[in-house]
Amino acid sequence: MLKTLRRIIKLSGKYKNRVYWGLVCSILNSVFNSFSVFAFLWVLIHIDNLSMEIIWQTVEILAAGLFGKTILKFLTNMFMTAAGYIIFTDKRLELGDKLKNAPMGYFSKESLGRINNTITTNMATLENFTMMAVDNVVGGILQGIGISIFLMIFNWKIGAVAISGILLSTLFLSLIQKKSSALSLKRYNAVEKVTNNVIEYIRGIAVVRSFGRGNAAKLDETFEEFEKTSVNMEKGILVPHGLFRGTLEVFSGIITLISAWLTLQGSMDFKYGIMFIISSFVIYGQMELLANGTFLMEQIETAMDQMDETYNVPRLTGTESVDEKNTDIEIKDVTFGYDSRIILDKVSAKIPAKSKCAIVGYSGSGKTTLCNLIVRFWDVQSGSITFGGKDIKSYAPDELLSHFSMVFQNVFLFNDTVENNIRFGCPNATHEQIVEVAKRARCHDFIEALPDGYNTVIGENGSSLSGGEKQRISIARALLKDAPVVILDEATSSVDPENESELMEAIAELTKGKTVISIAHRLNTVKNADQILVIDHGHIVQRGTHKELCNVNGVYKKFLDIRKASAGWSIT
Amino acid sequence: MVKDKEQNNSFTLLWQFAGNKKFQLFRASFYAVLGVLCGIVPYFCVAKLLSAFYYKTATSNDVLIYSFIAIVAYAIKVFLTTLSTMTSHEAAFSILKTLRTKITEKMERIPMGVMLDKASGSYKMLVVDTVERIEKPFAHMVPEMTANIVTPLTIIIVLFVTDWRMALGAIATIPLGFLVTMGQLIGYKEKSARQFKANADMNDAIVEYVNGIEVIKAFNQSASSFGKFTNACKFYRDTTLEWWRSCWLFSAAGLNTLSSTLLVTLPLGTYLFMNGKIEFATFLTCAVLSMGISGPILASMNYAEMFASVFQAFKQVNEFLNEKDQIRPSENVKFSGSSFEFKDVTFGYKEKNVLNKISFKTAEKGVTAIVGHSGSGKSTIAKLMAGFWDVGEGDILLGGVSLSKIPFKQQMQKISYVAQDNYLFNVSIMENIRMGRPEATDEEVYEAAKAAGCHEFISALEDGYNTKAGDAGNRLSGGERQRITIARAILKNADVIILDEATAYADPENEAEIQKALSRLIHDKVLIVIAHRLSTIKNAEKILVIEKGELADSGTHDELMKKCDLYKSMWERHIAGSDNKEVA
Repeated sequence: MLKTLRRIIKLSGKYKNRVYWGLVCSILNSVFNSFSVFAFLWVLIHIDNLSMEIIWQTVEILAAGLFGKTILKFLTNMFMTAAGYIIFTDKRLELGDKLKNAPMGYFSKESLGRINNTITTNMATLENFTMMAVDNVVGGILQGIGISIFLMIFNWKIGAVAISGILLSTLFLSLIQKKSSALSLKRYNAVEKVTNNVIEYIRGIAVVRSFGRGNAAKLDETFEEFEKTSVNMEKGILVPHGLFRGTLEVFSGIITLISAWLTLQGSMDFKYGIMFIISSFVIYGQMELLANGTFLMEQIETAMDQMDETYNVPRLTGTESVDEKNTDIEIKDVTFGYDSRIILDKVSAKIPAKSKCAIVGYSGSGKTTLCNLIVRFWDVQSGSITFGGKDIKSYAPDELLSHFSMVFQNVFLFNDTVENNIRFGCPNATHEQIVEVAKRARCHDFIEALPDGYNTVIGENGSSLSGGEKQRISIARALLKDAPVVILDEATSSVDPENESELMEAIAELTKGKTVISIAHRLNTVKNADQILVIDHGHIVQRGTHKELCNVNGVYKKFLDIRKASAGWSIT
Repeated sequence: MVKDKEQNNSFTLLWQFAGNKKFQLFRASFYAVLGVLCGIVPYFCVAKLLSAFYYKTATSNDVLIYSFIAIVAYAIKVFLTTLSTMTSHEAAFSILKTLRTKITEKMERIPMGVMLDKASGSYKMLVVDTVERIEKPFAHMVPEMTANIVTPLTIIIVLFVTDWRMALGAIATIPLGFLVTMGQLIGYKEKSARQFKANADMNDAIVEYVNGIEVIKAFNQSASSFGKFTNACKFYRDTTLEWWRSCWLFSAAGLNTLSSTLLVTLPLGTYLFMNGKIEFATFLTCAVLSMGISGPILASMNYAEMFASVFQAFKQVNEFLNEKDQIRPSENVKFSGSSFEFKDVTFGYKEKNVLNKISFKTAEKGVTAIVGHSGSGKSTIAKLMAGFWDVGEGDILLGGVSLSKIPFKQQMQKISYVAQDNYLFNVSIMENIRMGRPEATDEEVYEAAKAAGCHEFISALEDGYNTKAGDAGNRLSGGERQRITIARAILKNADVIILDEATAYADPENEAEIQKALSRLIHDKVLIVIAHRLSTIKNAEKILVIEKGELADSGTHDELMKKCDLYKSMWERHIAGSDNKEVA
């Protein structure tokens, strides 16, 4: 638990002092809290000679306590609770900043999902509960110590009993902590299992409906299992928690007993005896919060672990800028793989500026990976890639990317107007320039037909547009960017026929006068290419022009044959 | 007033969701109340002891007995509250399980289209996260809030019975405290609305920044996009703190006042005692007892706040459970033939009509193709045939029988619907294919796989047919997965097959394989195909051209080329756009 505390303090960084001040206020707060007991004592001391004056003094003590508590509670919030929001806003920004320098290859559906989850849900938990937990834990511990010292001074016997209560309950507290950390892992796994099964069920609902509910039985079982795990977990926590609370409550009773006994024997003054008896009700108040704090701490620990995992973002280095004149690309002996699987094995190729290069190969052969490496989505594992004669690792990552335009199948459009989505390619562009590129990308007509034309806000992820339309908007964006190299994934299969020819026209506009690297599926593209690279199982197995390759027996020829067969096919 | 209604409503939901666990929850509340009442006992004991001391009548017996009773009461209190929490949790988790089962069962009864309306993630949220939030009200609120309301009431009643003046004193600070707490509500509406909006805006900005990061980087917009993200986060922080800061003083003052019962009872009691108007024992008992009022009140205020926040969860679950079911009879019908007929069908999502009084009939045998621009409604037609929705107006007949009269199961046996992204479950590939016809033998599964052209690549996998589809996920291409789903459909051997742009995601290499598989599948079946590559449906028996939700024309390819300009232009564009010219 102290480890977690230290971790939180470290995390607080420059806001550390806010946390400390908050704790100071919180402790003073509990001092004012005990004013009510003093007021009681005040009355009892003067019980035999009461006067209006004494009564007013009692009121003053109580009012001072109320006032002090209020101010200090307010200050604790101002210092600490506010610090929670301030600290974790900074953490949000820090993670956002890290993303700027991460390699593009790092971003996948999974990693983006995790990042989203961390910045939203995870941070929300942390900003809401971290400071509360710190307050409960530190406040609880310090108050326990304070009470013990205070009681020791007045009467060591009662003090000793009170401390034994604290120590014994701490024993159960550590049991709670141990249990809850073991259980939170179990729970995490259980939630994950339910989540996976539910997602599978929902995604497959169409299949379930048309082929029967065989799979649903498994789902019901999962729910039942989850119920059991949850109940067991709760029981696992409840028992030590009950023991913890029970210890404190019983010791409150014992303090009453001892105080009364000592008073009866006359070894303690009657007034103090009464004060001790009354204070037995409030003595362990803060300790109960300690249990709550301990439980919260465990959750915060888990949330912080998750956060740290997400913060472990790889970072690209490099600072130089690109020399605009030279945009030749050279791939030298490049080897690359994910985990232990090698995708590309010692691949070399030259792509001179303004040439057209078509990459051909079966799916999974490494075409896409090669393109990704050229724009440094990942760093190569051995060999090198140069752009303008310099290793791409020496360039500032965004600087390198600014010389490439990429047109892929999955198009991300922002929740913004069509115009702003296109303007993303070049923030300073005028409306006229945008209309011009929209015309060249063959999207002007359908944009004009939208309810608000260029000012139409495209729905979440641009869902109100068809796939082909989205793609053409992304081409307009790329046209506006006007980068010297265009990388193109030609799989345009999700586009319907009338869109297809327009898309081809838009692409022709985009690639005019540029270096073009395309993952080619179309015969036209390979026919017009200056060089074709045929990739198979991570190697370049053939290279040359269409004329050179089309009559040689090899992968390329096979590829052409398949194309012919598939294009000429019809359902009969 | 509106809030009152909502609260009432949510209590109704609470009652309704509790189902057959009501008694268990009642038991839990009972334990909780008993537990809290035990918690009051020590106050009496202490008061008794103190007065005994004051009157100097205290004996060692008094001390031992009263202390002992207090200790036992404390122990029983903890035992009972623990028992209560356990009981209520058992009930709560069982309620959650029932709700989850109910929701997932419901998913099979509501129109498939409703399911497709939202991303699968939002349904996962509903089943897993939203339902989980309902745990708190059942596990904690029901028993604990009951106890926390019963306790102060009991104490107040005891106080009134003992001494009405002290009782009035004890409750005097409560309304005052509430009043001060209300100070938080000054400008609540706009402040909370502002904060909620800032929170929503921040979440949107985060999701957009994170999901768009690739585009942002590709277009060198890191700095400005990050700026937007930064502003949204900071604005959220500032708005939230501004709101909180304006509340903190009121809440601190209010809650502290509320719990300062001694502020009145102590001086009042002293005054009364000084003037001989109250017994010392009564004074002490009342003053000490009054200390036990505020704790539970504060706790129940917390629960009220919590309840307001989980109410949304109740509402969401309830809304889904109240979605309209697709009701179909259970009696099987007799089909005459296997064609589909649409009669004046009008259908739309939300307000927008997609199909407008459309009527047509598919061919009795062989291929019927449905073509049209994207957004023309062709895919909606296929989904209506598969029973994803019930039509709003008009009627759809299958084999001469209205879909609304065909049991869902029978309709599903009659047709196979193959979409772009038919799902593979994370069970073995064998099981995935067998889903088409659960009683099929292994041999039959192999046959179907061979016919779908996937036997080879499945056999090449390490565990062959026993490979889990999820594990193989990364190794199987989209086209390969698609062929597995086609094998599933082949095994099913239904009379009518609907291909809803089934090959759209495949790359050309895979498409050739899929097409071969399909040719085998459609052997002497009725086939309805939504196609984007017109060359593939050139030889269809009947082609329906759809435009803006209406039937523009129908006929064979040759007929349409002559009479339908729309079809002709689509065909020409298709030929121009594809490589056919050069290849053929």
